[in-house]
Amino acid sequence: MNWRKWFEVKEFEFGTVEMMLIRAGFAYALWTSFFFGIAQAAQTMPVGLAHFMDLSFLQDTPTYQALRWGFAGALALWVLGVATPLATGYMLFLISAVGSLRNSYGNIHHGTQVIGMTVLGYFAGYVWSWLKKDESRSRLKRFLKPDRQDHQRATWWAMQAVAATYVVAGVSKLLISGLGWLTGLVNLPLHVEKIGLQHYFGLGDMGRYEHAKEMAAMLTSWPLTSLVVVGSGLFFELFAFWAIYSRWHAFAFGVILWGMHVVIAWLMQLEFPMNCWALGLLFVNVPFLVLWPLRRLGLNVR
Amino acid sequence: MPPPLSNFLFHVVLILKRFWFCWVITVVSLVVKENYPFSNNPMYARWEDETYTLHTTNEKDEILFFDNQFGQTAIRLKKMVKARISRLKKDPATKDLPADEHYRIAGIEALKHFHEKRWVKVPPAMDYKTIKLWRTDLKLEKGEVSQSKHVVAEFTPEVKA
Repeated sequence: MNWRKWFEVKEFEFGTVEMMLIRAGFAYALWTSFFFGIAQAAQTMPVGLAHFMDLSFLQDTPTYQALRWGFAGALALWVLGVATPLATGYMLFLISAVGSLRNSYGNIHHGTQVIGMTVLGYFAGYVWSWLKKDESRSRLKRFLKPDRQDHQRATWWAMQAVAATYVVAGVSKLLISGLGWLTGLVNLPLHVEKIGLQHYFGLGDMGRYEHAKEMAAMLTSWPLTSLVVVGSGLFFELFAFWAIYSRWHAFAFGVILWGMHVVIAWLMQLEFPMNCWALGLLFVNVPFLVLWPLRRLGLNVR
Repeated sequence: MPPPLSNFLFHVVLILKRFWFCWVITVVSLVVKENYPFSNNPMYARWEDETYTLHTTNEKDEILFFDNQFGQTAIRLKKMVKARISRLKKDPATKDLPADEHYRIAGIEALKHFHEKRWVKVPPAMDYKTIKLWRTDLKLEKGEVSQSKHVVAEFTPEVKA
C-alpha cells in the first residue's frame, strides 16, 4: 500500500448541480430543525450577539414570524444562487441572533452550533468572492449571480468550518483534561447512567433510564469498549482537518464521524442531528453519491 | 525508510496555507469560547468519578417531569443552575458563601425563570404550590453506581390575586 496517498492534498472540484443539492439539503435542515424553543429564552447571561444588542424583539411573535419568512426567502435565494452574500448574511444574522438568545440564560447547548459555522463559512466565501479583485466580471454581477468558482469557494470554506468545529472539540478536551481524558473514560458508565436519569426526570420515560443502565452495565463489564469506541473519537476529532485533504478523505471521515454520532446516540442518548446533516452533505457528500451513478449512465448532471 | 524532514515540513506548510480558514475558525473558537455561533465545544471534556443530576417535585414530593411540565429538558435545568453557581462563585459579594447557599440562590433563580416562562407540552401538567429542586449525587464505587438525593432549593410562586 502506498501510504503517501493518505497524505495527498487535492483540489475539491464540485459540480454546479451537486453544490445546489448540498445547499438545498442544508436549507431543508435549517427550515425544519432550527427554529425551536425561543419563547422561554432570556438575556440574563448573554453570549454572542446578546452582548451587543437587545434580542427580545425575537420574542414578539409577529416580528419573529416575519423574520422567519424572510429567512425562507433568503434560503430560496441561496439555493438558487442569487444575491448570495446578502442571503447568507441575513441567514447568518438570524441564526446568530436566535442562537445567542437561546443560549443567553445559562443554558448553553451545542446542537445547532455546527450549522451556524457552516453558514458562516458560506457567507465568508461569498463575500470574499464578491469583494476580491476580478476584472472579468463587475461587482454587481458577482453579487447578484455568483459563478461556479464563487460557489466552489463558499462550499470549500463551509467544509473547512465544519472540520474546525470537530478539531476545536478535540483540542478543548486536551486543554481541559489532557490525556487524562482517555484514562477518565473508566467513569463513562457513571455519566451514561446520569444522562439516562436526566431523560427520565425530563420526560418521565423510564425506558430511557433502563437503556442507560443497560449501557452502563455493558461498559462496566467491558471497559475497553469505552476506550476503543469513545476514545477513538478524540483522534478523529483532533484530526478532522484530514477530512478536507480530498473527496476520499472527506467521505471516509464523514462516515466515521457520522458513525461516532450514531454510537454516542446509542450509548449516551445524546443526539446531534445537525452535525449528521453537515457531515452527510459536505463530507460524505450524498448529493455527489446520487449524481455519480447518473453520470456513469451518461446523463449530463454535474 | 522514513520520509525526509523537509517533506514533512513542506506538507505542514501546505496544509497550513491551504486550510487557513479552518485554522482561523479553530483559533477564534478557542479564544472567544461560548459566543454563538462560535463555541470551544467543552462538553464531556471531563470524566469525573462522581456527578449529579437535578430534578423537580411539587410540595408533595411528586416528580414534576421537567420537559412535560416546563417545556425544557432536565439537562438544561442543570446547565442553568451550574452557570448561576459559577457566576456566584466569581462575584466578590457571594463567592464566600457556603456551597449550599450557592445552590439555593441559583436554584431559586432557575426555578423562577422556568415557572414564569413555563410552556406546558403535555396538558394537564401537574399542579404545584411549591417547586422543590432535588440534587441526586451519583458515584461509581466498585463498578456499581450509587445514588443519594437531597433538596437544594425550594420556590413558592406568589399567588396572583
